[in-house]
Formats: sequence, C-alpha cells, structure tokens
Amino acid sequence: MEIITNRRKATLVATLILTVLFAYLFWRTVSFSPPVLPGYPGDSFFPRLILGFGLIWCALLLYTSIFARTTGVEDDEKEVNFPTAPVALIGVYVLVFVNVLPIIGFELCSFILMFLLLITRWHGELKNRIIKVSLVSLATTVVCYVCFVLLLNVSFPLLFLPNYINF
Amino acid sequence: MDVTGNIVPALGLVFGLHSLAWILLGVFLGIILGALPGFGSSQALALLFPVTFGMSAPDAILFCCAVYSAAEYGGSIPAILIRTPGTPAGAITVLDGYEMTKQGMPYRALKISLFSGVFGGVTSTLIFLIAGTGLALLALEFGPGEMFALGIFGLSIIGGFFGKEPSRGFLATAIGLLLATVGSSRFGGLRFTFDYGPLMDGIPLVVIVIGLLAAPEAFRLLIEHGDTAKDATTDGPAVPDRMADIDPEKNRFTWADARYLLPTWIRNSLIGTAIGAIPGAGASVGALIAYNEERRWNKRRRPEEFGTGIPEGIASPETANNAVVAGTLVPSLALGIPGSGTAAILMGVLVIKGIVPGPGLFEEQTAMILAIFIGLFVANGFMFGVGFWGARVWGQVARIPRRLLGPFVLIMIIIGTYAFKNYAPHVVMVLAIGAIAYYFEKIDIPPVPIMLAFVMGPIVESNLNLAMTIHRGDLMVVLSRPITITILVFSLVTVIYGFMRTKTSLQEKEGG
Repeated sequence: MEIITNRRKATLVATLILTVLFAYLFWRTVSFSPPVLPGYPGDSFFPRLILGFGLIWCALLLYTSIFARTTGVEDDEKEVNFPTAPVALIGVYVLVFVNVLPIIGFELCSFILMFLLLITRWHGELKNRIIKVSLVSLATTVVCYVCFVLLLNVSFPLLFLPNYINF
Repeated sequence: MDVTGNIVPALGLVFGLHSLAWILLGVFLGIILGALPGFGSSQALALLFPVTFGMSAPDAILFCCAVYSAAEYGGSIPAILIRTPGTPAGAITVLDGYEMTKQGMPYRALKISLFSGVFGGVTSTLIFLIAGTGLALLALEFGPGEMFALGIFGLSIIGGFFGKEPSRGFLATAIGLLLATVGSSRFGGLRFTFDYGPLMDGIPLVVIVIGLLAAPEAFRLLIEHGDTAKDATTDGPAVPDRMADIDPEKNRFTWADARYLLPTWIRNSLIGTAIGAIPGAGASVGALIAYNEERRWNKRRRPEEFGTGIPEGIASPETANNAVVAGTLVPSLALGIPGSGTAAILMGVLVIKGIVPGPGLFEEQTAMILAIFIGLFVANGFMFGVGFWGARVWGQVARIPRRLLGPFVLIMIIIGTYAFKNYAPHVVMVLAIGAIAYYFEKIDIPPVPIMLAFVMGPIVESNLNLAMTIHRGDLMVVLSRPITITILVFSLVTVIYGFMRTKTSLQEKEGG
C-alpha cells in the first residue's frame, strides 16, 4: 500500500503537520525551568528561538506551496509515492527483533531476520534458494558475532555461539 | 601548537599495531562500501559508526578518516566500470572513466583514479595542518559571543545551500536544532521529554547519524530495489568478464603519465581542499568545479575532448573529491563547524570519546591533531596498496545487486545501534527517524542539515548562554560586539544569497 500524490500537496501536508507540532512544542516551553543564574536566559530561551525560526520557515513553505513556487512547475507537480505497508513491515520486523532478542538470543534473531529478508530477494529455484540464503544468513550471523562480540566486546544476549567460537 | 614536542606521541598513536590495523580495515571497508552503488562516504561512515564504540579515541578517528578517504576513491570504481557512481562525487568520473573503460582500458582508468585520489589526499592533508592551525589560532581569540555568531554563520550556510530550496534546508536545520534540545539541559531541567524515560538523556548522536544517513538508505534498498529489473548494476557493464580479454599494454600507468598529470593534480588538489573547507559544499561540488576548471585551464586539451575518455577527465574530479576529505576537517576541527555530513560524523566520534572539537583542540590535543594528519597520510598509502592490488576485486563488488544489499544494511543498523548501549529504544528511535527522513527526502527536505544542526546545536546554545550570562542577560550587548555583528551580517548575506541563487536558477529553468 502506498500514498501517491504530487510534491506540492505532500509538502503542504508535511508543513502543516510541522507547524502544528512546532506550535505545540512552543506552548510546552512554558513549563521549562526558569533561569537559575543572573543573566542566564533559562532552559526555554533557545528552544523558543528555534521554534520561532522553524515557524517562520513553515509559514514561508506554506505560502510558496499555496500561492507561489520556488521550484519549476514540473518539480511541484512531480509525483511522489509514500510506501506505507513496506515501511510498516520493516518496522514490525525490527520491533519483533529487539523484543525477542533477550529471549531467543542474538544468533537465532539475526539468522531469522536475514533469512526472511533475503528469501524473497534471492532468485532461483526454491530448494537452491533456501540452501543459499541459509548459508548467507549463517555467515552474516557469524561475522556480526565475531565483529561485535569478540572484537568489540559488545554484550549481546547469546544462546550458543560462544560455545563454538571464542578466542 | 607545539609540533616538535608532540610529534613522537603522535607517531606512537598512528604506528601502534592496533591503529595500523584499524586504518587498514577502514581503508578496506571504505573501498568496499564506497564501491557499492548508492553508498556515499557519509552512509559508509554512518553504517560503520558503531564499530568505533570499542576503540580508543585516536583509533576511532583514524579508522573514520580511513573509511572517509577510501570511500571517496571506492565511489569511482562502479563509476568507471559500470557507469554507476558509488558516491555522488563519482558522477563526474563517469564521463571520462566509463568512456576509457569502453575503449578497453578499465584498469588504466582505475589506476588514474587511484593515483589522483592519493595525490589529492596527501596534498590536502598538508594544507589541512597549516590552514587548520592558523584558523584555530585566530578562533582562540574569539569569546562565546563570537563563537555563537560563528555557529549561526555555519547554520546559515548549511540551511541555505543543502537541498533544492533554502526554505526546506532551513526547516531541516530547525528540526535538527530542536532535536538537539531534547533531554536534560545544562542546568538539569528537562526539555521535550514528555516523561518518557528513553528521552531523559536526550537523543544520542549515534541514533541521529544512523537514523538520518544509513536508515533511509536501508528503506530505499529494501523497498525500491526489491526487483532485479530496477538494479542499476544491470546497466550493461563494459568491462570484459575474462581477464584475458584485457590488453595489459593499454592498461599501464607509467611515470610519464604521472608527470603529464602533475599540473592537473596540483590544480585540483587546491580546488578540492578549498571547496572542502566551505561548509555545505562537499565532494560532489568539489568534483564538479574541478572538472569544469580543468576544461577551462588545461591548455593541452580542447574542452570538447572532455567526456571522450581522457586521463585529465578522470584525474581532475578524483583528485578534488579526495582533497575535499582533509579540507572538510579544517572548519570541523578548528571551529567546530562540520562542513558535511561526513565531517559531522567525525566530530560526533570525537564528542562521544569526550573530545570537544573547536579552537582549543589544536592546543589541548596537539598529538591527536598530528596523529590525524599522519594517519591520513598512512590511510592514503594503504589506499594506494589496497586499491592497486584489489582493482580487479573491487570491480566485482560493484556488481553486487542492490536488491540483496538491503537486508545486510538493515541488520548492521539494528545490531550497530543496539551495540551502543544495549538499549532497544535506541533501535526504535533509529527506525522512526529513518522512516521520517526517508519520507522527508521524497519532498526534498534534506536529512544532512538536520544532522549538522543537531551536532552544532549544543555548541551554539552553550556559547549563547555563556555570552548572555557574562553580559547579564542583555542580548543586544552580545550581538552588537564588532566581530559578532560582522559575522552575523555575513550570515544574513549568505541567507539572502541562498534565496537569490534559487530564484535565479528557477528563472534560468523557465527561460529554457
């Protein structure tokens, strides 16, 4: 699934969202800590400057998107697509990965993720594909383990690899 | 800067077995990642950023410099062999590099690219040490008000010249500055945390770097290159598959060639270093300007000969884009203004290791600065060896289908981010930032200014706060100091120029 629109409309929507967000954040700065030192402008001073600055550019972009243009007509009318389902699917993969990592360990997690992502992209007969993708996924897992765990001392939740590869 | 007193410690930092191994690995990985179509030096560094977590500060910065230099050279490999530039800067190399390959001289083209890159890298490294020291000495005289103005000047260049329109560039800059304020302030107050635990310490730089540079590339590779038909590498390679089909005589690079290309190398080293020192310009602008200037200044060639596979057409962009590497380091290390996404990552590596880039760095960390300087020389030496030896292998790397790269990039991103603090919310943040950056790029809101502003935000804010505290909260006194106001006027001129440039290019476009 994907959203297809032109660049001008997409810019308009994105800028409107940013404008509302900036205005909300500006309102949030009211609750920031007051100045603690004489002369110190306080925690809210710099964020307010940025938000004010951001709102000016949002207004300018809104104006150019509605009334004027700063790029060629073909740029504004250029079709842009926003794939939503593939992005969400990648999100699901990553969320599942980080949540099951402490349970099933780094080895199985990275092997399964690589296998799932590669199997649809590798071409050839299914049996051959499964064998090749399995080998590549296994090799990737071992390389990541050697690089991050053994060489860089990163502590991942591990299941069995340290019993076989260690130095 | 006490060079003589620090040269021995600097040599010790570079020529330790560990450091040499990291530089060699950096060169090796940099060439491979640079050779992959679509991977620029900033993407390569963002992807390899997590590898630096376990290293000491000098090793980490030397490793990153090696990756940066090598990736710029690596980008020329697919440009020459398969007409697919690995880095944006490599797009100019395609013009003559691919033509030379079609004439049966792929390895001669690769050798010209390598020799030119090494010459550009070495020359600009020399200039870096001299110019960086001078600039840092000048900046040491600046107070917090002037440093704040300098930061604003950097932001005005970043916002005004990155991307298609300044309004989008400045919007991106505002987003980056805003992200930098998330978390606890210097006085302990919490900002924009929404009582959400993972935001209390702010957004780590590693999350921003990987989220803005590597993650959108992963999304692109996974979503837009899932089909072989869209693979750029299927674009009819001109290089023969069998080595026996390549005439070794035609592919030689001799001393006579080197002597012939010397004026081109010198000219373009200077151009590349100068372009690199300008924030926002980067390797692609350096390569483009170098190519155009070479056409203008080269008396031995007619302009129309460029694009037909002549050595100068490869040497000029390749010298310049490698010279940009050390040039970029000048404002980044001397002033704390990152000139490009890659320079921001290098600055980030220093910050994570507890070293603050800026004028003081040249005084306080002289050995480190000298080590970077010597390390760049060594990296160029290794690049020469690895590039020369592996010319044939790198050609094969460039042919890896893009559809297969996505899973590897994604797994590196997940594991690399998780490795930072073994903290799952960081991975989720990378994913969210990456998805937003991926969508932003579709409407020409560039992610690089977001990252640059994120790096510069704390520097600008702390200098502003310090200046205001010194002047009892009077902003007008801070802004009206002579150097401050001069720099701020320059910033305003830069912003206006950015808008005028866009307007002029629009008028030219409409005029046909």
